[in-house]
Amino acid sequence: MKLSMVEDIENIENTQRPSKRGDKRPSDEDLIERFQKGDAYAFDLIVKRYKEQLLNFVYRFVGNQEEAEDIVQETFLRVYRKRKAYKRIAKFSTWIYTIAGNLSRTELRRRKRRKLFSVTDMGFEDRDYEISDEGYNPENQVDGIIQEEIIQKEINSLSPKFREVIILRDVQELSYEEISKIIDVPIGTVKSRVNRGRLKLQGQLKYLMKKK
Amino acid sequence: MSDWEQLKDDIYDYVDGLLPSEARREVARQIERNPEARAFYDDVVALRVSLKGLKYIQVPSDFDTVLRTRIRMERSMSRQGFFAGPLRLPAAATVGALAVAAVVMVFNLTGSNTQSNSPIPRGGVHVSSAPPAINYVPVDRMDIDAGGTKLERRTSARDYASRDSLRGRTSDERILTVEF
Repeated sequence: MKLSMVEDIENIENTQRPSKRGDKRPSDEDLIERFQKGDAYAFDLIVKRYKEQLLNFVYRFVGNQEEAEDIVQETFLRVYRKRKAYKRIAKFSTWIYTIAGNLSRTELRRRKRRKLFSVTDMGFEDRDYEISDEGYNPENQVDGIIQEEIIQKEINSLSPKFREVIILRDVQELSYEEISKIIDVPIGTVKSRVNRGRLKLQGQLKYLMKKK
Repeated sequence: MSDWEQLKDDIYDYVDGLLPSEARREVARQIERNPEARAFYDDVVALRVSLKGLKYIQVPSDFDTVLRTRIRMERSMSRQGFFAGPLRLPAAATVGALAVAAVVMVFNLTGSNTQSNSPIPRGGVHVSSAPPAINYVPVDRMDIDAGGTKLERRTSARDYASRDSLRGRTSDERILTVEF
């Protein structure tokens, strides 16, 4: 049976991750280096490793899945195009997150400029939860999906500079140092932004968290 | 920064695991003793749990296929021509410069033609911001005498003069306007 290309790639990945005894998986930096030398499979492995985490980062940042998919596609295209620009002095993850973050910020700025809101086109981040009846009580109504939407809505209510660091730190669990490199601001500023963002979210989500 | 503000920052660092052991013990003591600090700590932890617990959205199954198609398209476009690929900007700039140079050369050549002493207008390029010219023969070159009357001559002269003024052109420009 002939394997599809993706299955083929998965096999390669798996063969290069032999066991728990020793992680012989090629590092991201090894992969991009191989890709720079013309190994197209290395690029496929990079896509496989990063597509999910990048999609979730961008999705939480821009709040719309379709746009997030486009941005992540564009991120990989940029990696493909600009592969020679990567130098091993930086971590590959920092580089690719920087690209995705920049594209997301550009999209948010573009969206702000457009200001063409149509109710039907609104993503969940734009929908207000004003369609409520008299008896609506958030403490009673919240369940899994709605809770997720409320959290996402509150994340989106943060300004982009706070939103980005909160997602990178508390959702993606990157280190402060890495975040500092990705958004190119000092670690102290990152920490201050994260804490201010958290404080705001704590206030907005207090009723939700007490329920939990 | 007030003590309470400082303690809040310390609690964040405590939750992030960024404090050295001694400071860590001190914050833990504060959380234990101070109900306000305890409530704040609970909020911080609850928020972290909520954010960590956000579901990961699934990558669409056609993601790789779409990406491969886009890469293939880009590669084929970059192979297609002179204006594609990394050299497209210098190439476009060179061609643009050559085009400008060619226009300037043509203009200079035709410009020298119009300066000839011949009373008959020659072909050339009319450069004017006025609306497109209607080609006609200037009144003073019309052969009205052959069949026209004095009245017709006067009318014709007035008509042309008023049309020229409407188009904002001088009679010299009019003379330069000829049909190719």
